[in-house]
Amino acid sequence: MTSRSALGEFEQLVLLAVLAKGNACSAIDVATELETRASRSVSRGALYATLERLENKGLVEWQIDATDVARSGHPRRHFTITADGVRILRETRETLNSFWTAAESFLEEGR
Amino acid sequence: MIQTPLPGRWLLAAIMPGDEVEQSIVGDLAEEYAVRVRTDGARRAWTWYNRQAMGVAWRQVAKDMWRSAEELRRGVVMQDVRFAWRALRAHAGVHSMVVTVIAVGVAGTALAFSMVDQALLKALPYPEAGELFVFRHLSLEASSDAGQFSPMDAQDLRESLAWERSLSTYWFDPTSSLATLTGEGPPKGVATAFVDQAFFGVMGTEAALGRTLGEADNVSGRDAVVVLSHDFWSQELRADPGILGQSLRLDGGLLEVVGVMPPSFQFPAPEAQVWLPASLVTEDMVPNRRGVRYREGIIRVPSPSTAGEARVAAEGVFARLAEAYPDSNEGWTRAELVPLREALVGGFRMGILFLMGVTGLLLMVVAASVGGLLTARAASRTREMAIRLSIGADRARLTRQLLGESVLLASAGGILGLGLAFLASGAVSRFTSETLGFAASVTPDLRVAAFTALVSLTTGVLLGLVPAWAIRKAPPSAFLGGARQGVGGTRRGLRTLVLAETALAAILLAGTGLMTRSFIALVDTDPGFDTEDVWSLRFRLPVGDDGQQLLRDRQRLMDIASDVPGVLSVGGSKTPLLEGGGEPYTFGVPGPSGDVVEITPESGTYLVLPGFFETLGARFVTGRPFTDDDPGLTVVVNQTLAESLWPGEDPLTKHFVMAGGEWPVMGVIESLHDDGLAAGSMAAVYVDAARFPRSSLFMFLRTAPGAQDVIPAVQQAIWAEYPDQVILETKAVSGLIDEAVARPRWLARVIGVFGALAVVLAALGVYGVVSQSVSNRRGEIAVRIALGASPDRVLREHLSSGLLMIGMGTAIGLLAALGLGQAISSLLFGVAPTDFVAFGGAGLVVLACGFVASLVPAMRATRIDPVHIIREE
Repeated sequence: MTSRSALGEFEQLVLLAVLAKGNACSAIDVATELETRASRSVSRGALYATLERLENKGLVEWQIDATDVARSGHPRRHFTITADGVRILRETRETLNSFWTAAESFLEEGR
Repeated sequence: MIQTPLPGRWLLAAIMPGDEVEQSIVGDLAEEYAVRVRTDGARRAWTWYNRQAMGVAWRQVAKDMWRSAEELRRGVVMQDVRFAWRALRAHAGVHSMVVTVIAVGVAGTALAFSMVDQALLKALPYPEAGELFVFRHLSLEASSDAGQFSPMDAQDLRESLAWERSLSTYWFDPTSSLATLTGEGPPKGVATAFVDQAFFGVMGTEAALGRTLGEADNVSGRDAVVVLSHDFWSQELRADPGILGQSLRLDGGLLEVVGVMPPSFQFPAPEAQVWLPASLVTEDMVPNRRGVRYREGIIRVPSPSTAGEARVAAEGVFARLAEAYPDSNEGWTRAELVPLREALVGGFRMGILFLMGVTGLLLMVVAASVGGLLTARAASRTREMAIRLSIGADRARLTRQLLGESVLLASAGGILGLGLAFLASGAVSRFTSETLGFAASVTPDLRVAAFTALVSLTTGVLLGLVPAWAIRKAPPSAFLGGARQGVGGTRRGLRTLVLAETALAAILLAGTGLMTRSFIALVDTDPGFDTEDVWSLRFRLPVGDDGQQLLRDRQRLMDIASDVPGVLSVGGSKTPLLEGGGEPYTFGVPGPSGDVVEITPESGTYLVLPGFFETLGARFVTGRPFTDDDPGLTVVVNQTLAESLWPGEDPLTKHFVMAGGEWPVMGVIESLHDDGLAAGSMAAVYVDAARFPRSSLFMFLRTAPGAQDVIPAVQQAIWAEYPDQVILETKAVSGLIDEAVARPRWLARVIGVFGALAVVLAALGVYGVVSQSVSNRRGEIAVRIALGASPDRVLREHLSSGLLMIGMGTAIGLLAALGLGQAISSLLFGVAPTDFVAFGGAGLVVLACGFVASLVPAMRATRIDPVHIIREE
C-alpha cells in the first residue's frame, strides 16, 4: 500500500457511504447516509473538503446533473466511486481484517 | 426554493461566487436547509445553516490562502511583480510622469495635513482645555477693539463675581513686553509675559521644576520672582538643574527663579520666555489707568456650556462700571468669550484655509491628470489584454497584475512625495512661521505617515480598478473589436477629464493673477516715509525710581547718536513703524456748535520724539512738526483724521482737549500706514513724547547715503557711556518694508507655484488625451487621407474637438474663480476680487497652453502615412 492511497477514518466512511448509496449519489445523500449509519453529525465544511481530497486522489469522480433545474441555477453534482476507490477500500478491509484477526485472542481474553 | 438565512447567504456569496463546484455546494446547503426547516423547525435550521456556511467558507479561505502561499513559493507572485515592473518600465516616460505627479500631490497633502493637524486636531496641552475661553472686554461701537482689560476693570469684575480663581489677565506683547537680561553674557532682550495671581491656576499647569506664580507673588515688594520657559532655561541657562533659588537680573532688578515650566507650556505664545508677576508692570511701561486697556483675559468656566452665563454676568458688571466711571468706561459694556483653540487659530485660519484650498485644487488636477494618463494608457493596452485573455489567461491574475501596477506606481509616488514633504517642510515651516505666524513642520509623525500611506494606496487601488473592472466581465472579443476605440465610455471619460483639468488650472491661475497683482500693488504702496538710508534701533530703557531719570537717559541716547559722524538726523518713537501699537487715548475736540465731542483715533495716539518726522521724511500737507521749543503740548495729526474731523477747514486752527489742557494742532502729514502697509491709512495722532517716560524706544537714524558703518559706530558710542544698555534690534527701514510684504509675497509665491504646476499638469493631460485619440483613430484618418482629405482639414478636426473642451473648461474655471476671488478678498490689497487683468490673463494662458498641447499630437495626425497604417490594420 502506498502512502498516497492511505485513507483516514473519515475518508473511509465517506467512500463507504458513496458506495452504499449506489452510483450517482449527491453530497446530501452522502451526508444523510453518514448521519444515519454512524449516528454522528457531519460538518458540511469537512464533508466537501474530504470529497475534494478524494477526488484529487482519484477515488471518486462527479458529474453535473444536467436534468436537474429545480435549484435556482445551482447545479447538483452526482458522485461515483472509481475503480481505484473500490480497490483501495478492498485493500483497507484486508489490512484491517488481518489486524482484527491478530487482535481477536486479546479481545476474547479481555471479555 | 425558500430563502436561506441572511448571514450565511452573504458569507457564501462573498467567499464562493465562483465555479460550478462552489455553486453546487451553495445549492446543496440551500436544499438541506429547506428540508431541515420542515423537520427541525425554523430556528434550529437557521442555526444549522449559518454554522455550516461558516465551516464551508472557512475551508474555502484556508484553501485559497494555501494556494497563494504555494504560488508565492513557486514564484508566480514574484513573476507577476516582475511582469508589472517590466510593463511599467516599457513606458518609463508616462509612468515616471505619473509617479512625479502623485509625489507632488502627496507632498502637498502631507504638508497641508500636518498644518491642519497642528492647528485643529492636536489637543491643546492644558488640562480640560475645552473649559478655557479667551475673555474680551469690548465697547459698543468699535468692532475693531482688541478686547483688552484695564487691570482695574479686571479686578472689579473678579471681586463682584467671586471669580478670583477662574479669571486671569496678563500682558504679553512681543514688541513691548520685553525685559533686558544682564549678567548672563552680553545683555539681551527677553520676551516677558506679565501675569496676574490667577494665571497658572486658570491654565491648570504645574511647573516642571519648582513652582508657578501664585497669590502671594503678586504683591508689590514680594514680587521679585520669575518663572522660566523650558526653552529659555535649556538654551540660555544650559538647563542648570540648580537654577531654583538663583537670581536673574532683569531690567536691572534681581529676580529669584522659583520655577521652570514644562516644554509644552507655551501660553500666551511660543515666544514667551519668562513669566513675571503683573505687579512688576510699572507706570512708565503702561500707565495704570482705568481707560488704558492692555491686558488680555482668559477664563476657565465650569463647563463649555456655561460660557454664555459668564458673558451675561460680566456684562452686568461692565454696565455698573460704566455708570460709576463714565469718563473711561462709557459704552464699554460688551463681553465676549471665544474658545481658546478658536482664538489661537483665528489669526492664521485664513492662511490655512487658503493653503488647504489651493492644495485641494492641485490634488484634483493631479487626480484628473493621472487618471487621464492611465486611462489613455489602459485603452492602448486593451489589445494586449484581449490577446492574453483569448489564449487562456486567468482573469483574476490579469486583474491582480493591473492592480499591482497601479499600486506600485502609487507607492513609489507616495514614498517620493513623503520624502519631498520632509525636504520641503523646513523651508515651508520657516516661511509659514515668519509670514503667517504659524509653523508647519512635518515631523516623522505616525499619523502623517499613515495619512500619506492611506492617500497613496487609495489612489493606487482606484487607478487600478478602472482598467481592472473593464476586463472583469467583458469577453475577449469586446477588446479585439474595440481595441482602437477604447473600452466603453473611455473617450467620454477622457473628455470630461480634460474639461476638469483646464477648469481647475484656470481657477488656480486666476488666483495666481489676483495674488500677484495684490502683491505688486502692496509693493508699490507709498508708506509715507523714506526707506533708504534710514535705520531703526530698538531700546528698552532702564526704569529708574522716577520717570525723570528715564527722560534724561533717553535724551542723552539721542544726543550721543546725533553726534556720531555720518548721522544726518535722529528721531524716536515709542512704537515701531508699520506695526500699530498706538495708545488708545480719547480726546475732546471742539465740535461745530462749540461743544466738545469725544473721539478716539482709530489707529491710536503715537508718542514720538522731535526729529521723528524729519528723519523719516514724512511729508507735511500743511503746518510743521513740533519742536522742543513749542510752548506746552502740541500734536500732529494725519490727513485721514483731519479730513474726517474738519472737512474743508484749516486744521491748524484746531486743538485737542485732554487732561484739562488744550493741545494745538501744529501740522498735518500724509498717512504713515501706522498699522501696516495693507491696513490702509487710519486716523492717527502724534504727540510729543518728551514728557512721557516710556521705557520702549525706537530710535530712527538717517545716515549719509551708503554709510553702513555708521550703525556700529553709534552702538560703540552708546556703549562707551551706557555699558549695560542693550540694543535689542537694529534694522534697515527698507528691510521693514520687505517684512511687511513678506506674507503677501509668500501667498503669491505659493499660489504661483501651484498655478504653474496646475497648468503644466493640465497641458500634460490634454496632450496625453489628444495624442491617444489620434493614435486610436489612426485607421480612420489613414483611410480619409488616402481618399484625399487635406492635412489641414484633419488638423482642424482634431484641434477643434480638443479646443472646444479646453474653451469650455476655461470658461467654467473662470466662473468658479469669481467665487474664489470673493473667498480670498480679505487677503487681497488694491485689487478687485473680479480683476479683469488677472482673469483675462489666466484665461489666455490656459487657452494658449491647451492649444499647444493639442497642436503637437494633432500635427502628428496629418503626417500619418496611409499606406503604412492600412497595411498594418
